[in-house]
Amino acid sequence: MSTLNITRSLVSATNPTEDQFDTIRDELLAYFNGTELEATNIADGGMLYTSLTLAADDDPLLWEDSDSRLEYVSATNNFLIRCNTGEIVFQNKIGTTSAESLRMETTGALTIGAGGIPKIGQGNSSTAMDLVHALARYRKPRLEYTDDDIITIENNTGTSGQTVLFQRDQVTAVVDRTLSLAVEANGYAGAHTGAAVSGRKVALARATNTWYYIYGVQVQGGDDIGGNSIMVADTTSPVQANCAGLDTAYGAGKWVYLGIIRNGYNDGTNTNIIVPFQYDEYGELRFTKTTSQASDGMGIVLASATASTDLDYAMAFGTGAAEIPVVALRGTLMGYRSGYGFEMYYIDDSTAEVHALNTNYQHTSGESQLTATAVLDIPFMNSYTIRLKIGSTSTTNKIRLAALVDHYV
Amino acid sequence: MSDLSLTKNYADTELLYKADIDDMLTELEAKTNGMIDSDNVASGWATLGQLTIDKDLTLTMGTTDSSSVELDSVTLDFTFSNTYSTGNTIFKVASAEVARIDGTSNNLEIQDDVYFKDRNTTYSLFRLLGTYRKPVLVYIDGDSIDMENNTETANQSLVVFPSGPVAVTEDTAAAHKYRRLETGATANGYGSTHTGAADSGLRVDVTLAANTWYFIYAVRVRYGDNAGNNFIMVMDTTEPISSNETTLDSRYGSGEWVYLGTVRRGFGDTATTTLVSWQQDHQGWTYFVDRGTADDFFGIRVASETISSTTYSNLFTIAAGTDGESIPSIFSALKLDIRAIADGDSDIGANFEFRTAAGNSLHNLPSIGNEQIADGAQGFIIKVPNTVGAALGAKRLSTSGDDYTVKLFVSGFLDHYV
Repeated sequence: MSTLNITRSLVSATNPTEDQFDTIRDELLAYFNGTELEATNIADGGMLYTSLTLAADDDPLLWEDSDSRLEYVSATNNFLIRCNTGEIVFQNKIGTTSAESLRMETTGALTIGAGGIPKIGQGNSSTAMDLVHALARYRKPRLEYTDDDIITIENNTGTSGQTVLFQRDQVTAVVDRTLSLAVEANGYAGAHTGAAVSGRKVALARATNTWYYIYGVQVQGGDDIGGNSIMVADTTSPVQANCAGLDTAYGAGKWVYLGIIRNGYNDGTNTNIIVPFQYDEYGELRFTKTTSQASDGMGIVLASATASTDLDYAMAFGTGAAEIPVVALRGTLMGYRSGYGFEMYYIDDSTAEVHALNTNYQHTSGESQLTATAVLDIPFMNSYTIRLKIGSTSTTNKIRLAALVDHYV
Repeated sequence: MSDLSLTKNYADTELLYKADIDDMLTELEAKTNGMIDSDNVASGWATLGQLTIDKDLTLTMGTTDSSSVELDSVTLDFTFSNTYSTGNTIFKVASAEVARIDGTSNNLEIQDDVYFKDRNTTYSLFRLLGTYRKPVLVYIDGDSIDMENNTETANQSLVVFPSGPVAVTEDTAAAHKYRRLETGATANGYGSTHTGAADSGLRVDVTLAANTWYFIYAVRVRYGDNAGNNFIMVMDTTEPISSNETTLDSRYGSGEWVYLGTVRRGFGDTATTTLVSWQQDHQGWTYFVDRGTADDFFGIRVASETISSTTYSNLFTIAAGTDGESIPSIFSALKLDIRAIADGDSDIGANFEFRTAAGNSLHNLPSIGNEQIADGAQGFIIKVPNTVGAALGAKRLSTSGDDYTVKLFVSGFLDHYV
């Protein structure tokens, strides 16, 4: 609407006629009914609204001919904040001093103002995470041995007794940090009720001389839903081909692999106890004890015999008694011979060639010597055999798995 | 605008004069022109089809300019201001808060996760922090290298570049643009002159040579038909050390390359133009898993000597480099396999030492025995620091009996830069 400027059509010292009043009336009607208000009508600083509404979807609030805009986009239902040429800045302004708190750059980068840090997972106060702190300090928690039946998980924050896990879609806190192979897990499925419990996967029996893969799984049923997780022991490995199955069992993105434990030494006696271990941050699992048998090396028995012939172990992968878990890329095998020396070979079955060996013990095969042990640090491969090459004297010979590097931790 | 008074100077019994009318019209004009404000409009009146604000003018919220939005004519920044230091700027979707800027700390507090929209819409910050592992290199055959399938999606590899995460899905049994590198191919798609389909391969201007170490990079495709959120593998002879970063940035784009690992072409004395098969782990170790010829051990043969003297002599001295028996400087440790070949009778054995350049012994290594089991073999495995000038030496314990032939293999390495 243009500036109001009514034509002064009346004549001085005469009575106005109806037509003269009508002329003025028509101008006023045309002005107020036929046009709209313009900036020239508005007082500086005068537009104070209790609400300001853009009439229809997609009507924008523009700055300077669309250089910047705020807009509700009906096609996507998005609220659009756009700056066409510069960058989008959020700031705190105290008096005349402005401090930038956040900038969305033209590169797409998000820059946080001085002193500020990004925090994620704020929707769950128990696991809210300072991102910078997480980058500096977060380590996936290690599994820790407790006793024959129980493992725990590392306290990996500055809060005593707390374990947090970065998972594929959120950060969780491990609500039950003790896993017993004697109990079943509860809380990882939507149908579960009651308190969350770490344990074996439901309906999975505890078996002797078996490897168990341990997963951190979000609590999705029962009393502890909401940013919590438990540990679940399973015999399904985390190799790529099993990911879909694990997604089905635990929910897509709701699990993270923590490591592997072993139930049973496969020594014929101690077959249903967790083998003591240490995990390091680099995925190396080292067994830390021998069995109740004589000091014949630490770890799992893969082959054992009392004989005067060479002792062989054909590399085999799986969760069984004398198998190496498929997550193991390489590791340490230990050879033992009672009272005599030996040579320890890693043999390619296809060519019968020795591709690695350790013979750091001298011996005369027919004479009694010190009891010998030797280790081989080797890549684990199919169609290879570990051989303890011995002399002609019958002795007790063993091959043990002493350590492995877990490729998936 | 103040109230309209329309001053009445006349009485009911008086004639209406022109001046009376004109005075009222003048007042009406004065009140209308430039004086209308929110007092004059009905509730809900401010429903606009469009509202445009000049640069440097603010859309202000609150009676004391508490919050405002402004487009700056100089910087062209679109600025949202909150004048309360203790107040927060809050973002909501529907009625739920999704993020806030803390007015006191400047912290950006996000209720849930962060996604990298530009580079990839799937791999969030939680996911990267929780489950991402840089893909390892996978040996396929003497001329081919794959990249690990490191997500739960079959045939997919995810690489976090400094510029953002990129995932590529490709069945390398059917195609080999991205996740398979064939040593006979020339890499395409990383340079500004590149056109056509992307391909993994040897960097342009690098020659495929025998007995040479090659450094493998994931490089984002920025040119040609597949430019965008794709990457290729490039085989290069430039190490990823700090002093080379400028070169690599110039070659592949700043923030557009990630070092994946080192491969070796050539076993040493034999099979000098085939990739030496390996297993790479996520801890930086690569173990070689094949030998060049019968009676060799895993890895690259760097020495084959007959030990006859009772005085130490060096079998192998570490030298930095990328060809022959030299060792890339990015390795922090080496795994060495020693194999002694004797005739099986009671020969006097040999002693070994690993020495630094200054002649100091780092390790007194075990002797190889006086005797071996019939048809047996002798040797051992050690891990040593990759120190230029350091050497593995050996001597006979006695000159009696047969001499020993000793072979030395680099059977693995710890890569400091993976």
